[in-house]
Amino acid sequence: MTVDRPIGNASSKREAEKIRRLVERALDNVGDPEMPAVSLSELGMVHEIRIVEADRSFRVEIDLLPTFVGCPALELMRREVERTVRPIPGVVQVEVRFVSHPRWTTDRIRPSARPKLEAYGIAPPPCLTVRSPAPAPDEAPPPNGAPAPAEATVAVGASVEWNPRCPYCGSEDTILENPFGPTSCRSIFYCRSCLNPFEAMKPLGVPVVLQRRP
Amino acid sequence: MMERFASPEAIVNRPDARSALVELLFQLADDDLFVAHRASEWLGLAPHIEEDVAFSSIAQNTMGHALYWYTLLEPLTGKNADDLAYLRPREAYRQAILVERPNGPGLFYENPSYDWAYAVVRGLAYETFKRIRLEALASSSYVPLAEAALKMRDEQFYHLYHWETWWTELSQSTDEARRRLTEAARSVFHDLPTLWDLGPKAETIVRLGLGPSAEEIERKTLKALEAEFRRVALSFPPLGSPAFTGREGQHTDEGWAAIQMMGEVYRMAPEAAW
Repeated sequence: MTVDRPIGNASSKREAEKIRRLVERALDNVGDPEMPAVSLSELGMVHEIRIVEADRSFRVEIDLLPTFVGCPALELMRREVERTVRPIPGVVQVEVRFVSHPRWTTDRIRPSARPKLEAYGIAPPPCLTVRSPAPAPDEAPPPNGAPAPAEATVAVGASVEWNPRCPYCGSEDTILENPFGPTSCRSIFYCRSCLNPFEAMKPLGVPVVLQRRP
Repeated sequence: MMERFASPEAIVNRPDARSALVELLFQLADDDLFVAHRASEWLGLAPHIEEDVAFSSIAQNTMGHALYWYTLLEPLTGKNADDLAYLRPREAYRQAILVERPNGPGLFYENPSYDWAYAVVRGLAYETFKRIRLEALASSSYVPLAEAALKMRDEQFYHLYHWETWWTELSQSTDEARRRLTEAARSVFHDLPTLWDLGPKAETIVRLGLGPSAEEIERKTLKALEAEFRRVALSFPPLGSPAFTGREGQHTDEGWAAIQMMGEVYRMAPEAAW
């Protein structure tokens, strides 16, 4: 979602639009510090970009949604976003805020990020959308550019088993080894087909059932 | 219709509401600070290396939750999160006695003789309580608190799952494991009622819809824990009646020592940038 503060005349409006496009493109290139194969935009972490006119130049305010509240990489992301956006001509100031509303859920991950995660060796989280009679008022619209995941919807109250495909051999004969992995947002699975351990992004905010070890 | 407070500005000039909210937020922050700290003391001592990964992950997430609660306190108190966490006097802390109890005899760096059964039962009890408290707080009249609770609940799902797994597996293993779980449960349940006590501002917290009542949380937590004990056929221990809960600012010497240790480096140079 992108929102503008009222901007005076037509030329500054055009200028702001140009800056917005450049900011969006820049954010498409800021990789997650711990999963550089995907960008913050692709992960659905960019909530809002505001272009605010400030004395013939522009201030850019960016609201990001942390995947995990205590993610230690947040400061790195803030610096990286500022470093990338600051050189855009016309931008005098960049302000990055982390907000917890709307809450980040794995459904915000863009479909384009899923094969990239897999190629990087991380199984993407199950893609589920709760089918409810009406959208909950506090739920955010899907992130900019991300088509709502159409398939694989589940009924309210139902849940689906988390059974990721092995990113190495493609087998679905996998088992949860440890819900906790090298970062907050990843778990460790084991592939019983190719006998490799692998990482998987944790589903968050979607109704899943975790397998119990047999 | 209950009044809703959309932002710090909406509540900061209402002394009764503000002081009740501050009280509640300190309970949330201090509980998570202690749970994270006690968890971090297990690092390198857990039963196996996978558990070190898991337990320290839980510690990290939980410390993140504590930090978030302290950050919500910043505009209400005019102090920064680090000062709030480390520089308050003993009687200003609000964590429940259960979470400040040490992991066992010794210190993590000197003759630790920690009890894994106690870690498992306390983990199960606290995270069960935390899930119920977060779910209730999702409808808090203080909107920033409600939003944070919803976000944390998603993450905390994995913490509770983790302790349920240990609880189930140990209770199905040896007689010694069952005996030690039973003993640990006795100690944990002695302190269990300290969790849901709401302290001196309980009435205002509930009346203004800032948080759920102690009775609601007690009832739901006990129901959930009873089901866990029934599932593994262990007998439900009696609840203790501790002399103080921590919510009124009274703490054990071990709890205070932990705060002093956590803040030791910070107090050397509070102005330093980390």
